[in-house]
Amino acid sequence: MIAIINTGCANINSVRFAFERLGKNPEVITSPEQLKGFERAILPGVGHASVAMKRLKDAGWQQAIDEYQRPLMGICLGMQLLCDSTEEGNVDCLGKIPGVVKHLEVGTLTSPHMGWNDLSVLKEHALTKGLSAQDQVYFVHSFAHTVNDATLVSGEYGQAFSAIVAKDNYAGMQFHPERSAKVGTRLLQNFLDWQL
Amino acid sequence: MIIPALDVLQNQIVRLYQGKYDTAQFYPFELGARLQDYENSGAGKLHLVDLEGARDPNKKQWQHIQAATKALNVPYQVGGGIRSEQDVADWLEAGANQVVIGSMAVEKREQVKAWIEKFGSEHFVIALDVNKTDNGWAPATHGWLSESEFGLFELVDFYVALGVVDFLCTDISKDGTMTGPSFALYEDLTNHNSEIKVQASGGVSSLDDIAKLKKLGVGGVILGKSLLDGAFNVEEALACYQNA
Repeated sequence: MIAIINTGCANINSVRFAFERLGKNPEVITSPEQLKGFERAILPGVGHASVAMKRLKDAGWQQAIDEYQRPLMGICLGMQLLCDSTEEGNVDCLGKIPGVVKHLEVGTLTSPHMGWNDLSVLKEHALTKGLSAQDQVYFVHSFAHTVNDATLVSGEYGQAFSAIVAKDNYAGMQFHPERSAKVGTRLLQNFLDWQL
Repeated sequence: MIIPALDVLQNQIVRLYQGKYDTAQFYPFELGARLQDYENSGAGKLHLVDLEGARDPNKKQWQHIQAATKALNVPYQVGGGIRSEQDVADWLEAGANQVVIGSMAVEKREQVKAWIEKFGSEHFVIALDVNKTDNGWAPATHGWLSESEFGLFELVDFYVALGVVDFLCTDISKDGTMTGPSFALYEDLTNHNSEIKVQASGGVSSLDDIAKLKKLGVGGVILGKSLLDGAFNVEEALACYQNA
C-alpha cells in the first residue's frame, strides 16, 4: 500500500489519480502514526517552503518521516522539504537528502522555471530506469537543490540543478511526474518497483 | 507550446462564434476521450473552458470536467466563470495546474491580486480579450459585452509585477472565425514585454499561422476549432511549431 502524506497544503488529487492510472489505490493519510503501516510513501507539495515545513513540524511528521525505513519520495516542494535546508523562507528542512535548496539563478530566462525540459542522467539508479536523452518532464519551480552526490538526474535552466535525488530510502523529483505524460508514468512506475 | 483547447457546454464539446451562445456548434466527441487523444498526440498542455460556468457561475460543470480530466497525464489550465477564491481552490484541488482568470482580472484587480498572493502566481493564466480601438487595445469583459477602464498593457504590467508569466490574449474580432490570428496584437504584446509567455488564441486556421506566431515570440498557441474541424492535427501543429 502507498501512502500520500497530506500536510494540508498540497494538491493531493493529481498525484492520487496518477497512481490510480498505474492500477494502485493510494491512501491519503493525515496523521503521522499511520505512516509506518505503509510500504511506500509520497510527500507531495505545492506552496511556500516555510509554511509547509511548519505544518510538517507542528503535526509531528518530522519524527515519523525520520523513522520511516521504506521508500519515501518527495515531489516538487516535497522533494525540497527532504533536503537539509532551503533559501525559501530560510528554514531548516527534514535533512534526509544531503544538500541545500537555493533560488534558481535563471539569468535572462523567465522565472519560475515552468514547462517541459530535458533531463540528464548522472547516476544509474532504480529510479532512472528507462530514461533516455530525449525525455522531457514538466517543471514548475523557482527554487532547486544544488547538484551534489545525491543527484541522480540533473536539469538545466539558467544553471544546472537536481531533478531527481536519492539517499538511502529517501528520494525526490523536482518536476511533476504526475503531469509528465509517458515519461512521468515511467518514473512513477520506477518508484513503485524500487527495492531497497 | 501547442495547447489544444476544448470548450464545454451542456456537458458537450462546443464552439461558439465570437463568443455568442446562440451560435453554439456541438461536436460528437466524448470529452475525456478527446483530451486523451490530444495527450497521446504529444500535446504538452491542454486548455479547457467551462462555458456553462462562464454564463452562470452556479452551473459549473465540475463533475463532468473532473471525470474527464482524471485520466490526464499532462498539465491543464481551466477557465470559465472563476469568480471567487473558492472557485480557484476547487479547480486546483480537482487537479488543474492553472486557472484562467478572465473578466475578474479586468474588473476586480485587487481581488485577483489576493488570490495570486494566496495560491501562487504560477497557478494563474490571465486572459485578456481585447478590441482594437483608436486608443489601442481595449480589454473587454462580461462575455465580451462591456469595455474595461484599463488598457491592455496597464493590466499586463499589473499582473507581471505580481509574478504572473502566462497571458492568454484574444482579439475578439478574430475568435472562432478561422480568418487568421491577430498578428498585430501578438507583435505588440511581445514588443511590450519579451519575458511573458503569451498564449495566442483565436483565428488560427493554418500551419502557416502557427509558424508566424512562433516567430513573433509567443509562448504558446491555443488551438480549438482548427483541430476539431480537422484543418490539421496536433502532430502536424507540433512539428510546425518546433521547426518554425
